[in-house]
Parts: sequence; structure tokens; C-alpha cells
Amino acid sequence: MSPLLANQPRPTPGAVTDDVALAQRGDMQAFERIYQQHAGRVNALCRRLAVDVARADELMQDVFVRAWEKLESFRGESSLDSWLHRVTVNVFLASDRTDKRRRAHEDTVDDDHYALSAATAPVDVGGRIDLERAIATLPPGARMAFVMHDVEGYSHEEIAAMSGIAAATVRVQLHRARRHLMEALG
Amino acid sequence: MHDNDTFDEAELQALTDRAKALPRDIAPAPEVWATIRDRIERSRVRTLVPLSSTDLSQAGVRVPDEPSRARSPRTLYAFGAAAALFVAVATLVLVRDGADESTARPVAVGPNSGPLTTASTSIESVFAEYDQATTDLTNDLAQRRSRLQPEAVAVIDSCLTTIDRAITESRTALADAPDNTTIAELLQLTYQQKIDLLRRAADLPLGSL
Amino acid sequence: MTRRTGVVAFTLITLGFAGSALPTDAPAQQAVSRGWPLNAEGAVKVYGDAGSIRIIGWDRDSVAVSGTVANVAKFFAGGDRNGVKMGIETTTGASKPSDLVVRVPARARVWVRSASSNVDVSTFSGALDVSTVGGTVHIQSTPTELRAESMNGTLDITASPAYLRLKSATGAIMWNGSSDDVGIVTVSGRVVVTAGSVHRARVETIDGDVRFGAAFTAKSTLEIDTHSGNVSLGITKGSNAALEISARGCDLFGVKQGQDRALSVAAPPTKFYKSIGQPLLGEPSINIRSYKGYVTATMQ
Repeated sequence: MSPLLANQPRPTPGAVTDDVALAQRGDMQAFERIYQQHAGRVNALCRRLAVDVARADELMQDVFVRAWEKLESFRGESSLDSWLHRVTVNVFLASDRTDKRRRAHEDTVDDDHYALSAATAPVDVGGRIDLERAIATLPPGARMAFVMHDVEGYSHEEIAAMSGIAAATVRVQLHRARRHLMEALG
Repeated sequence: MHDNDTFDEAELQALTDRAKALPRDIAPAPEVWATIRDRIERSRVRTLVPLSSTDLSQAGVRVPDEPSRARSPRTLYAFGAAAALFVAVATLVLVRDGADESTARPVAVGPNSGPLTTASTSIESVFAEYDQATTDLTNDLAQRRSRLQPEAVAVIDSCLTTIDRAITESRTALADAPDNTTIAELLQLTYQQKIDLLRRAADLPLGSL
Repeated sequence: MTRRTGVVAFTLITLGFAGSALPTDAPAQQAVSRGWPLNAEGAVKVYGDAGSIRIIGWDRDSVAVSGTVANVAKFFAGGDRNGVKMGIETTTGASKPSDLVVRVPARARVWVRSASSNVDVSTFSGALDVSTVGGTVHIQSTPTELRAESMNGTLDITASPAYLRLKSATGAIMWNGSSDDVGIVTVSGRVVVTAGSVHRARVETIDGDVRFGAAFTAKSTLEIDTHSGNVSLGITKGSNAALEISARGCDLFGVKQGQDRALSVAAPPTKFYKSIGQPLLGEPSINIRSYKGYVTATMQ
């Protein structure tokens, strides 16, 4: 017999913290506490995905506004950090799709374009190449794969689940990213 | 080099070690939260948006002019009023009166914090406008009824009975639960269906069916 | 295949009768056979009354109509290479059936308006807009975009247009296909959808029941809104979706038990949430709202 959900009681908070439960019911102060606790982790991801600080701040705003809208769907099956990272990846990829559509009207979009212009070229500081700057030269898909896997420590499958991109594609993007970075850091 | 090429293990290890050593917590600029909060506060207003119930008479096919069907000026006025109502509702903004910041939330059915209100009018007055628009269209139908085929009239009457019953049930429910946005939105869709049906009825060729 | 152009000559058979006395054995119907040149993507508009209208796409740059017209009706037609209009008008009394077969360039833009004619469309790949009051609409074709509307006739559609709009008052709506953009609206008609894949779909009924089966990707959107209809949702295995259901009650079959949550509210409908596969956050998913109806979701 199928489960009838109508009579299930509201689950008590477990992985769903008190602040999350309050925020899910519209408590803005609780949501601000959530923000203060997790903003640093999310911001680090935004900075690396979005390349420049201004766009990273925009991405941060979009992520937390989206998190507020979708918080009801968080059920504690993952950590809130992971959930927020998932939101970040989705928002980032959605904005990248929008940018692509806009650029498609202006010029040819090359998903494999690895920028190495003077403005974005890694800076040689004391003989060491700046890895952050090198990451910024990666195209969005490769950048996302590298940051999520090698920096943040998610598996290919977790990244695939977060992003909706096939795990095989994630592996390919990661490989390309590593290849480019090793050449740049050479 | 190709996607299947392998890397020097030591190089790869060095890269991944450096990646792991990057800071994973970077404090955002202080003003970011204020901007997020402002955007959320602005998004607390709910917009009733007419759904994409496409008007099938707006044929995307470019064809020679169709034979004109005589319409009374009253019908045209009712159509115009209904169209204006759609536009008005599409831009209607609902603001919770005296929203308590700690409890008000745009989507959840929360504690009874008062009826949904617009900046200048209540949702009841919105539905009163729907009632007026449908009354005008219904009166126009009444004038044409005797010239339509009985089968067509029977179909329209059956649908109007169904729709009116749904409207009554929804408005009763909304009166008991004025914060229930699901009921409010479903009610709005029901009104839109009524207007659409009456418009289609006005467009029926005389002697239809 | 080389497209043949040029004027297709047909013989027009005179309709109507001369003289004051009808022969006692006069036929009840008259034959119609006409043709016109038409550009490959020209427009064709067909008006019907009662009987049947059959649209068939072909690979010629011309329109050809054949069939029979009731004596109490009149066939009219006209146009140029860009557009052709034709149809049946009843001249006296109640409608009598007329049957037209209209061959059109396969990529033309076709518009059909009918009172109670049954409309059938096949081997057509252009843009199609069909509206009938009491007739049934049967389409088995590949239009690029499709709009079909009936009051109490059945819409029986097998097609995969990028853009699809189906509407009825009480007529049943049955669709089999895939589409990027679907809108289905009915008051009381029964809606049965067997979709391969949908990108964005929306179904509205007042009390019509809805049966919707499809494969959902993480980027699919489905919205079903009904006042009192019951909804039966079939989800193909391997789909990714986040379900949000507001209904009197909800049964899930074949869905892995997980951390489902029922959010009780003071008044119905009750909200349910369920993730299927790996849905994307922040992306649209499956949202079903029925004020008085019940929802059943089954993994297939």
C-alpha cells in the first residue's frame, strides 16, 4: 500500500536546525543568522565562480535570495553548506546560460575559450603563479568543475547531481581545467 | 593534448594540493547582507499574474481576413474591460498589511496576519471587478442566446454552472482563510476561465452546432 | 525531391440549380474539385460547417480541394499565391454535412474554423490552428506549432510541436507527443497526456480530471491547476523533479521512501513535497494544485 502523506506529523528538527525551521516560516532574523554563519563559505565559492568581485557580490545576492525562496524544500538530507553550494552552482549556471544567449547575438560563443589576456593573465608573484588568477581564466564549465572538485572537495557524482550536468561531462571539464592550469602554472 | 591524456602524477598532486590549500571561507563585503535583505523584502509582495491561458483566437498564422462577425459595441466594451482587468491584475501587487517581519513570508501559509491587500485596494475588490466583467459578458451572451444552437447553449450553460460553483466554493474558503494564496490564485484562474469561456461564446457563429 | 510549381488546373463544377423546379431525383450533394497555386509556406484558411474537413500535407506548391457539399450549403473560395481562403456556408435551414479534403503544401500555415465539422490532419509539418465547436479534432502529424480548440468535441492529438496549445470546454483532450511549450486548458474535459518529454507544460481545469505521464528532466516544468479535478501523474523512471503538491490528499506509488514532509495547513489544500531523482534547486519542477481533488503520483 502506498504511503498516505496526509497524516504524517511535521518532522522535528534534526538536520534542520532551529534557525532553518524558523526561517522556513518566514523569520528574517533567523535567516540573517543563517547568512552570517554560512556567508563566508558561499562567498568563497562565488568569488571563484564569478571571477571578479563585483559579479561575485551579485552572485552572492542571487544565491541568498534564491535560498530564501527555496528554503522550504530543504529537508536536512544534506548539510546546509552543501545545500547552499548547490543553490550557488545552479544560480551560477543559470546566469551563465543567460550571458551565453546574450553573447550569442554579439559574437561567436566558444565554450572552450580559455582566456589568457593581459588583464586576466596569472601574475607571477615571487616566482609563483597565482592559482586564483589562473582559475579565473578557465571557461565557466571547467572553472565550476575544478572549483567544486579540487577546491571544495565534492565528487564527480555530487557535482553532477548539483548541476544537472552528466558526471562524464564533469570529468572531462575537470580534466581540461587541470590541463590548462598546469600549463599556465608551468 | 587531448581529454584522455594522463598527467604527470607529481604535477597533478601539486596542483590539487594547492587547490585544497586555497581559503574556503572568504568574508563577503559588509553591505552584501543589506542588499540581500532589501531584495527579499521587496519580493515579499505577491503578484497575481494571469496564467499563460493562450487566446487561441490570436492565431499566429497570417491568413486572409476572416469574415467579420457582427458584435455589439457592448461586447467589444466587455472584451476591453476584461482585457484591461487582465492587465490590471497582471501588475497588481499585493502587500500584507502591517506585515510582521518575523512572521510574514510570501509563500507559506502562516499565521493569520490579516487579509492580503494591494497597495490601494483589497483582493475582494479585485474579484468584484472580475464579477463586473463577467456580468457584462454574460448579459451579452443572453442577447445572443436565442440565436445559438441549443446544443451550444447547453455546453456553455453546463460550463458556467461548473465555474460558478467553483467560484462560490473558493470565495467561501478564502473568506475563512484570507492568507491562503493557493486558493486565491486558483480562484483567479477560475475567473479567467469564465471570462475566456464567455468570450468564446460571444465568438460562436450564430446557429453554431 | 524537386518541388513542382505552376498552376494546377481543375474543373469547377457548378453548384446550385437553375430553373424553378427541382428534379425529383436530384442528388443531395454536389461535388467540389478546385485548385490554386500557393507558395510553399503560404496561408490556407478553411471554414467548415458540418461534416468533415480533412487536411493533408503534400509536396506541391499548390492547394487542392475535393469533396462533396450539401445542397443547402455553398462552397466559396479565393486567394492568391500567398494565401487561399475557402469554406462552406449553410444557405438555408439546418446544417447538412459537407466533406472536404484539402491538400496543402506540407509547410503551409493552416487555419481551420468549423462549427461541427470533424477535422482530421495528417502528413502536415507547418503551423496549424484548428477550432471547432462541436466536432472532433484528430491530428496525427508533425506541425511546427499547433493550436487546437473545441467546445465539446474531443481533441485527439498525436504530434510533437515545439509550441502546443489545446483548449476545450467539456471535450476530452488527449495528447501524445513531446513539446517544449505546452498549454492545456479545459473546464470539464478529461485531460490525458502521454508525453515523451516536456520542457515546460501547464494544464488548467475546473473539474476535469488530469492524467499526465511524461519523462521529466531536471529542467522540466509542469504546472497543473484544477479546482476539483483529480490528478494522476506518471513519472518515467530516471526522471528528475521536485514535486510540490497542494491537494486534499496525495498518494505516491513506486517512489522511494525518503524524508517526505507533509506541511499541514489550517485549511485545505494540504501541501506535500517530494524529490524524485536529482532535481535542481532553484529550477522549476512539478507543481500541482487541486483545491478539492486528489493527486496520485506513480513512478513508472
